[in-house]
Amino acid sequence: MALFLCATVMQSIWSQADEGNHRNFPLIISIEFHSLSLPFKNKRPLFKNVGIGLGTEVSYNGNRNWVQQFKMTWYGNKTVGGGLLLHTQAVWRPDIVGDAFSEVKLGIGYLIAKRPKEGYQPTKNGWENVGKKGKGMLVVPIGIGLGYDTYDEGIYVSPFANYQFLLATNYNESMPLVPFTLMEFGSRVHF
Amino acid sequence: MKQIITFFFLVFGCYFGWSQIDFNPNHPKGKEVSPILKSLVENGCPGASLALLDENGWWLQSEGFANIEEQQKMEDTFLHYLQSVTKTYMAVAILKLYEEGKLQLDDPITQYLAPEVSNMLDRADEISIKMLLNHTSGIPEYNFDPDYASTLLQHPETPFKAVDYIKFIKGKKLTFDPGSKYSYRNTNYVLLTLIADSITGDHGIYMEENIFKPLGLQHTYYRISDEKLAGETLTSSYWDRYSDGILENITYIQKQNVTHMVGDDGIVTTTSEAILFLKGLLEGKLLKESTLQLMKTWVNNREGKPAYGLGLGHGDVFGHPYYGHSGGGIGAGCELRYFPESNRYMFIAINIGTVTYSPLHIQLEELRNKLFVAMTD
Repeated sequence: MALFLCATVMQSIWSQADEGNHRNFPLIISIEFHSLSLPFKNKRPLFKNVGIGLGTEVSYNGNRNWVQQFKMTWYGNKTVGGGLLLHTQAVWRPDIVGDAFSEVKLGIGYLIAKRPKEGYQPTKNGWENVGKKGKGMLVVPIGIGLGYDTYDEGIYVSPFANYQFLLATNYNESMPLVPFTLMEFGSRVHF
Repeated sequence: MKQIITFFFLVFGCYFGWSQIDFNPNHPKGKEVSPILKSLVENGCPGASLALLDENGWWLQSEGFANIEEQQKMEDTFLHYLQSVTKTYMAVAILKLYEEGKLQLDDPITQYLAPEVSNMLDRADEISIKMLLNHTSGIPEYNFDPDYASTLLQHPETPFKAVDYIKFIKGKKLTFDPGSKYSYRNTNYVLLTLIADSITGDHGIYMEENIFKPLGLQHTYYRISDEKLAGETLTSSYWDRYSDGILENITYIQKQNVTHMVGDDGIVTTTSEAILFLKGLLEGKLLKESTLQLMKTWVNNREGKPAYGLGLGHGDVFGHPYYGHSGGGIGAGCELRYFPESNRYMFIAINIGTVTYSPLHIQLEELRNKLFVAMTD
């Protein structure tokens, strides 16, 4: 049932996407900087805990102003643990001037968070090293950003900068919601 | 030769501060509770240390690991984080200043705090020093602020000063009318350090001079640093980050956190010196009897039971009272208790975090309750 719904939604998106001239399914590549912090409250240095993001997007209406993004981000964080984030976000891009635009994003994702250090589990034979095995948790990503994109097929890149806030659920029993931020700098690469 | 050995024993015994500890290997209560301590480390606690003192003398016992990765056994001489037990020391410092006539307990805190600090607090002029001491001020809790928690986890090296903690509650309303009820807040004791600083210049030095030295506490440290702890072993700390029963070494964050906390936390000590402090306090070596009575003037909790005095907690085990304080941190926990009916002091320290939930806590709490019951007879 879920697969059927997903297929229907995707088919609807793709059929609408054919109506405009937004170049669908670019490769999104970004460098990311992760932090466990509230939005705009991260302490310096800001450019620590580097990650890499890969993704793509497809337009709802054939134009760049209303798209759905799909992205996978891996990041390292020696203090709180690295992670692999899979998420999709609906993106609204109001134009600023010319081909420059701003972005507002909202979506849902899943975070596979690792531990910063090896974990130990008590067993009958003492403490067993279970490695950096972490935990999966649902996340709600919200983002803002700026970017540049042109419909000119002769230009293959469209750069962007995003600030992403992620609210991770079920971090632990006493801290059910934990905030993360990602600063993203990258580009869509059109083929 | 024998004289030389005795001399060395005396000199080093005094230097290392163990001269006050006369361990009784046949301590009846110690032998009774020994299996409980062993069970603690067999049921999810990396390491535990216990000290008992009563009419039968001292019992010291350590079980499990101070550090799991290095398989370092816990020892009686290792240092433990006192966490909130520090509040009792801070209260004694304030009450010493009261005895010296340098402050009055019913004075408004605005009389001692710098205007820039008072201005951050709601209705500061209605709050007295006594309300800070017994947690009836209504001032909000600084460590409930998500920015504080996230800064601690991501940037544990942040050199917080006392005023920085107060900034987390800047402009927030009191949660109840001053003096109207009891609600435990760490912020109260951070403010007490600022008051003590305004009088003494440095409350840390004052505490060392007026509490640690008179009681001969040579292994008790406040505002810790690597230099201060040179030659000592501070136990490692473990945290169940994801509440899944898996522990990770959180020593760096724990130590950084305790390094910067003042008044509400910040002391590390041995199990025996924790007891020597409480014993010295309750036997009148630090404060006058009248002041001690003020300290033991309890305010009630929601259930109407006596809960807290001036830096001293009150509780009971099946109707048997105890005084003291408990402490909890991200990577440690402890309890310092005096049971007046049995005239017994107890201090237990564990190196698993107690401030966030872990399924491992369930069994540890059952064992802790067994230990408490054993203390009452």
